[in-house]
Amino acid sequence: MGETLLKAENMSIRFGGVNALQNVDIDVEKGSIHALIGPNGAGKTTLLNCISRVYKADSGKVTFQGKDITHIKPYKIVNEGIARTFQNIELFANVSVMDNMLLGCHSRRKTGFFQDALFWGKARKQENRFRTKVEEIIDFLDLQAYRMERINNVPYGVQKNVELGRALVMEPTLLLLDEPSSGLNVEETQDLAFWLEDIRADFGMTILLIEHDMRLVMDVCDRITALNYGKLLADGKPKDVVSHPDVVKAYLGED
Amino acid sequence: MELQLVQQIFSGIAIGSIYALVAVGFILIYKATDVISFAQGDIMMFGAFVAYTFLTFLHLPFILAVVLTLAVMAVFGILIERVVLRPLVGESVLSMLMVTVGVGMVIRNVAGMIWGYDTYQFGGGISDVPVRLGELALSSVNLWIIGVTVVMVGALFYFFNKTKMGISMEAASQNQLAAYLMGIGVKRVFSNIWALSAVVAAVGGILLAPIHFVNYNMGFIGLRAFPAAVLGGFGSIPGAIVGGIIIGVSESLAGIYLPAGFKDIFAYIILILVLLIRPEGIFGVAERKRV
Amino acid sequence: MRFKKRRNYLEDIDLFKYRSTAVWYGILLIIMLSLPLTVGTYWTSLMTLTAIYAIVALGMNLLTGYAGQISMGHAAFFAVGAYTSAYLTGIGVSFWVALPAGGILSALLGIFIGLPALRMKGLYLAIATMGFGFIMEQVINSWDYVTHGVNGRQLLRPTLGPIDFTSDKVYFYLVFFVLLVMLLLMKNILRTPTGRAMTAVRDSEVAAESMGVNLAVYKTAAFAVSALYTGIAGSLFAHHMLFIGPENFDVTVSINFLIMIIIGGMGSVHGSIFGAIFMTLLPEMIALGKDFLPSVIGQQSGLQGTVYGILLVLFVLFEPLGIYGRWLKVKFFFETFPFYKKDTFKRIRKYTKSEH
Repeated sequence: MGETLLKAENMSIRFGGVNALQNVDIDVEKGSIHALIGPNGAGKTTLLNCISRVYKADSGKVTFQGKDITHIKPYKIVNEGIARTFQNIELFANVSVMDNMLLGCHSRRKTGFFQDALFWGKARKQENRFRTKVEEIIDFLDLQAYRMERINNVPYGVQKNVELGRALVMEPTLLLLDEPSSGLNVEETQDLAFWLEDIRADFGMTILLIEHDMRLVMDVCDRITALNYGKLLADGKPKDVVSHPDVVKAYLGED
Repeated sequence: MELQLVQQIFSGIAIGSIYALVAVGFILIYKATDVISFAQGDIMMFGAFVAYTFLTFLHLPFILAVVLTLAVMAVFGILIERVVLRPLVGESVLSMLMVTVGVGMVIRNVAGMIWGYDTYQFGGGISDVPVRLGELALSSVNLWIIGVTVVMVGALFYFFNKTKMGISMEAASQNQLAAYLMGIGVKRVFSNIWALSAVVAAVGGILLAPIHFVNYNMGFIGLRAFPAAVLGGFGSIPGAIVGGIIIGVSESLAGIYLPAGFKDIFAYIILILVLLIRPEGIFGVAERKRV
Repeated sequence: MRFKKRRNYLEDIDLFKYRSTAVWYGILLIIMLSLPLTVGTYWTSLMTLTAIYAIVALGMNLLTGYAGQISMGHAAFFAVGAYTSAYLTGIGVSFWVALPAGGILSALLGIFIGLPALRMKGLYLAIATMGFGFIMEQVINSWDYVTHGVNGRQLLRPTLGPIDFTSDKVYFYLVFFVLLVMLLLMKNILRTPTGRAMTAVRDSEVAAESMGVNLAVYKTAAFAVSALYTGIAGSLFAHHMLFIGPENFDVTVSINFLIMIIIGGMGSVHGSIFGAIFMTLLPEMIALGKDFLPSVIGQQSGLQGTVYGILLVLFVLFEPLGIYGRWLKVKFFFETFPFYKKDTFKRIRKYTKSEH
């Protein structure tokens, strides 16, 4: 076992009368590609939301790189080195692909309002730096054709990639991806599989992803955590988890 | 002194009832269509003028004039929905808000062109005689207002809970897609909602006429129903009623206990204070976005 | 279509994309500067008013168009700028201090109003700002010491060393210069992290937060900057009109400001300018056109409001991006002729309420 990067313990949250998460633990190893699987409504996205502080967990503790981030402010999570994508695409719909990705640089801004308004010296240099970074990611994800397109005019598959790109621009240590392959066609999914490995190899990021495409999971992931009805079902090597009796039962039903 | 206080509270409840009626109109539309109608006050004014025309120029009996007014207003409401709002289904909050602002401006200015800019009074109908309860002298107009409001609210409650049309409207308000799949004509529901809220607003206008007179600018009074609706959480009819009465009473008390000028803006002061403390209103429920 | 070879990533956000664009703007600038010399005082004064409204529209557009926060009480900020300037110059402070003071005071009030706005969205904010506008109206009416109540206040035009701005023509240059500065600052805000964060807040608060945008800071900042612009415009307005009273700052003014950016073009700097031009020219056009209407309609004071209302409805229904949207379409039509596709500018709608 390698070094633990993210550790969430005893996570619980209730929505109304529903126990969306009940005492769920998850350990993400540094440098791994870790999948979170489970049927619809298992609480996967909820867990991701609790880790990235979109939701406030009722109880539990999240430790990242040895630091307790359970009560950190949602907008500070990126400074800790966690970036994420969203299940239903949360892009800034009325601006260009470029501007969307540029926002990924936001956490590294060093200028204040006044420097921005004057746009001279430091602000100019910073803007150049940000744009260079974004162009680098645009090259990496083959998005050149869409640079200046407004998100609304861009196909769904590309939007998914833009969202991934925006998360990469944030230069995180841990990348949380919520169903990155949903809505992608076979070729796009293959591209994604390569990118996931490249992201780990080239950028040194650890990836925690929610994924339904089991082939993709088996191909690229080192470890799987399976959830059902807000509870932990199984956790371990992909082979072991998919053959785990509880997981088989959850996916295929009783008997 | 105490007597005066009770009387002030009483007239506050009366004016609050009118705010409540206009607020109910806002809420019906908002719940069903996600539109905040800034035209509601002007629709109220228009209703009052239509009634005024029937009464003064056509010399119709009061009841007949009211019934006709409500019919005209129902058609008017449907017309607004069909011409202006329906093409905008699914647009941004601001688009729909501004379109109702535009509609309100047109109604207000056209009403000025038709009826002039003077202040009018209804002939016939409700007469103002003091009703004595021991030492208390309550205005009969105010009693009428409160009585009619209670009846209206009861009727609305019955409509939304017991009649098929009302239940389908309620269903469409809660989940358009599900209602559509259940075979409810969502578009027709929208039309009906606009008709209904125009009718409710017209009732408010007719009730307001004896205490505030009829004027092309009386729609601005309707804007004070916004604080009422917000206090009530912008989602429930009982909330709007309570909100309206709170606003009406506190405004009327501000009239005696606070320096001049406070009365007209007190509703907004309460509004801002409430939004600061509880942004979703007293009876509102906070919404959480799903991601 | 035109293409340009970039040598530097920053060229993407140059103020003028092609050299020809810069030339056209240069020509426009020269025309604007020479117009007051050729047209009469009346038209110069209208141009001044347009420039003042353009500053307001820039501020409104930043808040509502870019940051997505609806304000229906902006006349209040306009009033703060105007009365601060009136009061300060009234007690002998120089205009050159009073102008920024009006803007800054207005910005501070913007922060104060922006704070509750953090917790409200959409309609609540619209209603709360409208309430704030009403409260401000009452303050103007009652605070005699500063505002002289319903009697209004008189002002003087400023001087700067040997330059006397008393004449309408000279004052136009002052206002126009301020507009240019405000335009440049706005452009800079919009092309740097500050502006991008504000648009992000408009489009998706959750995503913006996950990228490190502190919603509180940027919403408040949007209010503050918007109020600053409106306040400065208010001060310039006061010194332009030379007389201000409560009727200059009532709720219809706030709504007219909103109409201005909707008809001009939401979320666009061009749109702000178009909106301001529209706002000043429309009354003139109505005045010209009303002789051709039957007197039953033409001579009514409600005519202007009716036309505004109808235009507002028509724009929201048929051209939600305003005059600027129309301009883009025409430009695109010529640039891509004969390959223009109608679908390029298809409207996007979101059907809410199907989930929850």
